[in-house]
Amino acid sequence: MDIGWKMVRRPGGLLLAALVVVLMVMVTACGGGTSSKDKTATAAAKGGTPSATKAGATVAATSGTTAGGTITIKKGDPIKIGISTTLTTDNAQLGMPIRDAALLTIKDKGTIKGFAIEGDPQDDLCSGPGSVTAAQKLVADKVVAVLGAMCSSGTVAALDTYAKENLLVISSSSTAVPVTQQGKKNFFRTAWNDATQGGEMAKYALSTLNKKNAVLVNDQSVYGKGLMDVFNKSYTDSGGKVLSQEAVTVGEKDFSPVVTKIKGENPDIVVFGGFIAEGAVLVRQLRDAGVTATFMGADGVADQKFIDQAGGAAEGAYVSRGPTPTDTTVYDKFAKEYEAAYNKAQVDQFADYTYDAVNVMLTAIEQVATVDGSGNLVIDKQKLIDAVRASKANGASGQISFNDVGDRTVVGVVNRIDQVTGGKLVRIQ
Amino acid sequence: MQEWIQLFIDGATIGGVYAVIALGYTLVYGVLRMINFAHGELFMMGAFTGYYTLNGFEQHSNLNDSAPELTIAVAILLGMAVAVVLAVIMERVAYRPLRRAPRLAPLISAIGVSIFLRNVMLRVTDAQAQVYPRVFPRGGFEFGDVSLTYIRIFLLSLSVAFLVLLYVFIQRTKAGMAIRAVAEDRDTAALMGINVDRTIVSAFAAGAALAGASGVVYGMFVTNATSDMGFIPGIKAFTAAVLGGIGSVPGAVAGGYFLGISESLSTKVIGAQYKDVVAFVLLVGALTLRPWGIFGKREDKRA
Repeated sequence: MDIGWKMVRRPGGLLLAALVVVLMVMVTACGGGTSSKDKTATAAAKGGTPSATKAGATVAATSGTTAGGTITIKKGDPIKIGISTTLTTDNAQLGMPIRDAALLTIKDKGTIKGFAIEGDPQDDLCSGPGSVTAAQKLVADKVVAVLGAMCSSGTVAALDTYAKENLLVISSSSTAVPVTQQGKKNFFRTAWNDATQGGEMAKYALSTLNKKNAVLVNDQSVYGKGLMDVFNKSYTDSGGKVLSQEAVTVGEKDFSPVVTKIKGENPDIVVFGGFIAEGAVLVRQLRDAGVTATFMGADGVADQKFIDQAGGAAEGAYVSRGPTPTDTTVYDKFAKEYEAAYNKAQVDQFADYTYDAVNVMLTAIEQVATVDGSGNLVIDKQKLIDAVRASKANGASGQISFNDVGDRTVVGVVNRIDQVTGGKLVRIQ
Repeated sequence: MQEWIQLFIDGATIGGVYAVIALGYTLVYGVLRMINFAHGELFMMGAFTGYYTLNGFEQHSNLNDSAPELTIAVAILLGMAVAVVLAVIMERVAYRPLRRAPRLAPLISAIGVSIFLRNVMLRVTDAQAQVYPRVFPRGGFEFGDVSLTYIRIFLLSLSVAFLVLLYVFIQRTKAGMAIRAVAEDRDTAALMGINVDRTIVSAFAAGAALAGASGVVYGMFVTNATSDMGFIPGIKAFTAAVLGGIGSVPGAVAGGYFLGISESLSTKVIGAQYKDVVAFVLLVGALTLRPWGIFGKREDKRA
């Protein structure tokens, strides 16, 4: 081998570079890890949040958190609503509509007791660490309540930070089962618990579609893995056979090895727990490889963008969502407004849940907020949380009321299943 | 058995992509002793250029149907051109001012460039994946359950062609000789009348051309382009370059194929969820046991 083939004498600085790689991968790619996020959350809590409450330090004249668990907003300042959603990476295509729907709802409300309302969007990267950072920023920004986090991985990790402040948090898109198992009394979600969705998907695949052999694919997130675990249990208990559970890496585009494995298993149905970007690529590569098995996705792909990005391969696929109301009066009104405001052909996934979450939040703030002698707005945090717990509303996503752990209680709605027909999501159940 | 062969083919295809990207890491490392972490983003920008080119042909002509070889060639050439221009700007703006700075500084600067380019494309595309029109002929050869599609054959042969081209460039051209000289000893090369700055730019440009071209072909293969698509291939290609022995051209290629094939086969052995673990265990293993890589040569520390 001559000299041209070996240009470098000493591979110096490599360890440094490798260390940087490891750090980058940890920060950017590993949002879904269950073990790392708990540590991160605890570390963040130990580190102390910027505006941690101190006993007796009540300064009524300044905006912010005070000892009695109240928030005081100075006359002329806006009421800040935190929005923790994903604004970068591929998942921004789900996160930006959530921000847009939230800002639209806030704009609709206008003012509360003469105080302007202002959205404060923070990028949570759809990951545990990202959502904790967003939470710390929002706490420092002295928001009154928070919408989010977008992804279950993020919500599970960030809840500690919010709970320490006794801050009201409502998520419109975190559906995973563990989210409401954290025992946090300040948390609610307008998104449905996957315990319902996973079971309904399994029932539909087995009874209605009569598919007995399934391969499950997840994106290794708290949401995707969790949903597939629920599906697996429910499907197996009812007599279905899960041939294998596969996983894909978020951010990758070539799933050939997984596709090859699935082809070898020859299942009747491939069920996917994850988001649009990976779902679209997966279904396209499955079809390209000649896998004809039925494809089923969940609410993470229940969006026109999934069909568009799959380039025709999604035709015939089934897509599940949470329970959906039969009465769509509120939904239709919101849909019209949303589509007009953002020049969209249809409502993006989770926009309706976001509308409901923010409305519940704002209504509760209006109920408990009082104006004191100096014209400042005072909001009791515990009263705010109690008001949300007691709320009963007719929203775009159906009747809204919460149980003890913050999950929605089902009132007269059925699990929705769509099928991709002619390049559109068409509701069949 | 057929499944193993198919997994091997799957791995070789992605391995070819890793290999071509890894060549860029190795070239730049050779002349600058620096890892250009924005290299994966050049690959991504190539893929977007390919998308915009092919989509433009799709919208405004029927050339994609009548002369796909022409539109694909144009897309690849434009992808290379855009990546080269970006790399030259990148070198001038983000790296050259830090030439004499501590080693960590250009590394951090590279990460900054990477984040910048990703976010530019995120805004441009509104975070939507851009779907390539179907230009490359579908189908391929079937041997029982094993399928070897045309696009895979194209990807595989392209990576081999790039290796040969790069070999010729480095061994037979004046610019290549200058790159070798600068890699050997920058100061002495300067004393011999070699324009070091220009040589460094040419190493960046050569690596970028490869990244841009492979971005276009990869985009056609996976059929879409997103702002994040350069990140993981970039990290994997870095791993491949280290495995092969960073600074070594055949090492980068061997490392790329080795990594791609190991990853692919590991999905059958221990499951797809551990695919990335395999890659990074290989990286850590290589750094611990054989930091000079498969093809790099061990050098004892000078006294």
